[in-house]
Amino acid sequence: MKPLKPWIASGAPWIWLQAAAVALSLVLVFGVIFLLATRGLAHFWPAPVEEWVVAEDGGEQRVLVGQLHRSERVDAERLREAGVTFPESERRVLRHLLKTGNRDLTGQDFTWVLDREIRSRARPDNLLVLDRTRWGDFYGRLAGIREDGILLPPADNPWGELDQRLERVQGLRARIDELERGEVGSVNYRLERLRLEELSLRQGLAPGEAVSRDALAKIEAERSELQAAFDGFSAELGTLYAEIGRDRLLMTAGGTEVEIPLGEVVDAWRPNTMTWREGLVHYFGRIWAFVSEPPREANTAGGIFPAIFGTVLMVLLMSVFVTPLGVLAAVYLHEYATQGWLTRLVRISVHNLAGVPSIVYGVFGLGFFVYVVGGGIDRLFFDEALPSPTFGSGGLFWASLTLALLTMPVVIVSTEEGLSRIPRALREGSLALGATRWETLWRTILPMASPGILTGVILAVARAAGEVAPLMLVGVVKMAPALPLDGDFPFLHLDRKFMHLGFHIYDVGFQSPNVEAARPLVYATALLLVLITLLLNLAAIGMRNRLRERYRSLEAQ
Amino acid sequence: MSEAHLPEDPSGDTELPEETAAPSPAPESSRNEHLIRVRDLNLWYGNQQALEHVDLSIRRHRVTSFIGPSGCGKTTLLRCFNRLSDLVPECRVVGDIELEGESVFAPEVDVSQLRRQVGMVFQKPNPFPKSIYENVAYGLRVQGINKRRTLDDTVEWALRAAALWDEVKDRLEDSGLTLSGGQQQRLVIARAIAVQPKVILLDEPCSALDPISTLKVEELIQQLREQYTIIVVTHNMQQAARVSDYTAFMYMGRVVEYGDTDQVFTNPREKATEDYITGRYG
Repeated sequence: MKPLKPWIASGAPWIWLQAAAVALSLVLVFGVIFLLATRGLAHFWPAPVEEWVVAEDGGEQRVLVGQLHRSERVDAERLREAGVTFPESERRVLRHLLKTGNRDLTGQDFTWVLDREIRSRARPDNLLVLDRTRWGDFYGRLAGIREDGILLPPADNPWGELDQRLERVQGLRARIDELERGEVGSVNYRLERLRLEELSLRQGLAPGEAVSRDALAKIEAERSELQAAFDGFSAELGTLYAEIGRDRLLMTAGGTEVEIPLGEVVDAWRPNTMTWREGLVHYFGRIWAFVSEPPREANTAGGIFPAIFGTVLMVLLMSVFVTPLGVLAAVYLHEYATQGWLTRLVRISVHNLAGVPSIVYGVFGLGFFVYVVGGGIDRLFFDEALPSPTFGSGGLFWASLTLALLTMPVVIVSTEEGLSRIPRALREGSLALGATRWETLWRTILPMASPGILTGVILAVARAAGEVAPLMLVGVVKMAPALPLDGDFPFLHLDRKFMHLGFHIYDVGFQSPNVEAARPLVYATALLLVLITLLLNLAAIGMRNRLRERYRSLEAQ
Repeated sequence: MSEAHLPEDPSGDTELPEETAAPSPAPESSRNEHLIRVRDLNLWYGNQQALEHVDLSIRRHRVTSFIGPSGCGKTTLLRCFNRLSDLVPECRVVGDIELEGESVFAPEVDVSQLRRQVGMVFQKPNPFPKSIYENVAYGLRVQGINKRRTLDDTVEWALRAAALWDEVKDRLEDSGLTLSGGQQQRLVIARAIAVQPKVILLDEPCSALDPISTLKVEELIQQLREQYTIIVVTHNMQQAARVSDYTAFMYMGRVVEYGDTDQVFTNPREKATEDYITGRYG
């Protein structure tokens, strides 16, 4: 055996320890990513649909159709207590969770099946999966297609027929969405603004004074114009809805025949016949839909685009607010303030602010920004809309400001660090050339401190992107009716409530009516949140590295 | 403080006699002019006095060097000429310095304006982390001069004057930090002369340089004295003897002896000067 003492004295055990710590951190980080990726992304793969014949001991046979969700071994005793009977000899039993869908028929999405009760498993080619706008997924067989209530004669190629009709419906639905979210939303928005305009005209009057006829006439003209547009859109929507309701699918599932309006079907596929190439196309199509579409069915289905959009926009706005504020504060503290006990006190307080729990900032944001400042703004500028609040309730602006406040300490601290790293000789060099302190600051010191400033912004972004608790108080909602950025003046609607990935995770994972079905979405959303945080960070880091490169030799001095 | 070997009244000694043997002819108009006069300057850092009753006059278009042991106040005095002394918070000054008859410490003085007339080169080369071109143009840009032609001309002229043009003319857009130490120091000198100062202060300009770079900077000083009044602080007595026309020996915040360089080095009037020059202390 090696003598222990010299080995310890050599420092080798510490190096091993340090390496182990690094390895552990790496394993944890990659473990998180791996877990999120496998659990989240596997959901979009077109898993095969199986038909199981199941029978309890001595009981009658049932046919179950669905996708295997997961399998586990459970303690037999626990099941016995739950009332399931089987031989004493078994201690642990294997059971499967089968996603059977068809919630409208059976009232549930999932069924537990004991492995020992399965009589046969098959993957028939003709099993179809329907992704619907209501009631979740549907599993079953295509029995026929009705057009305007008339059953079509069986086609030579029913799948081609289905795909063709589905494509038509998808086109119609895209147009409906465009109309409802875009044009009709825009008209509604402008009508509301007109209403407020008229209200504010009437409110500004002295008693007895009448509203100017011209102004009223103008508003009336505009309103009737908008109303006409609205009626046009309504008519178009009416025909579109009639069109989309034309076809209905006749499906059989579990022995019953169901009629499903094709208008409710988002996508249909037969996973058992897919080659891996088709599978891959379908897989990426679904992932794309996930990141590019709004959610459906109380967030348990569909995409998360509004949440991605809200998160990114909120973080960008936060950076826009926090960077100048933090840098100005740091410059004053470091360059202009007399260094004494007061400055030291301020600095210590700033450092401590970084450790205040975020929910406290949320409470502050609600109490000060939303109620006091927002209420004041409403009374001053949006009087006509009261009592319904404009800035007097949570929104994008207040959420960004609250987070800016939350992340300001890190920006201040790292900016100050950046400033103090600049050698005195450089300041003196600039001053000796006749530059004032301000010119020195602007032309030499701030550019050189920019890597430090960006480090602060990176940390701020990293913290803000993942923050949820304060946002719940100042403007994040489960479902926002409109994006905070659109084509209606003033384009960026700072007063609107928005969706956020972090809150979306919480909502889907814990507040959802269908937790088991939505769970993969939680993982996928979490993975996306991590990726977006990473992306925002990488952008800032890339910028910092470019600046570092420029001032590289400086740090060697 | 050991006053024994210091002259009773340094001010009497420090007014230079009429110039007799100028090493090179200066423009006729300014031949005898004293550009800077220091009048009974006292300076304290907090409670500690760093300069005591300093009186001396600096001649136009000559090289004057300050020598003396570390901590004797050479650099402190030098930094008074462009009021970089202002940067030390507890620094207090009594007395005055006149540049062409105008007080430097008067409250109404525009410090930026003053510093444009009194350029400075520091001990360690301190180019900005910008391109060579922008380093030289910095002083002009600060003054609001952004015309490309003017800048181009001035940059070339200043780099030529600093004997750096031939070495960098093809890489003006490279960072100033890519140059060698000696080149950086000449770049910084170019940067200083680009704003066309009257005086150039050099604070131990060669202490961070190798012998060859030192030689180049010394040659440069010799060339620049035609156009500028130069004050050099140095630890290197050979250097003072080589480059300067006049030498002031400082000790413990006082100017002990001030005179023609040849005289100070070959025939010092004060015992303290002789001791220092011959290496007995310092």
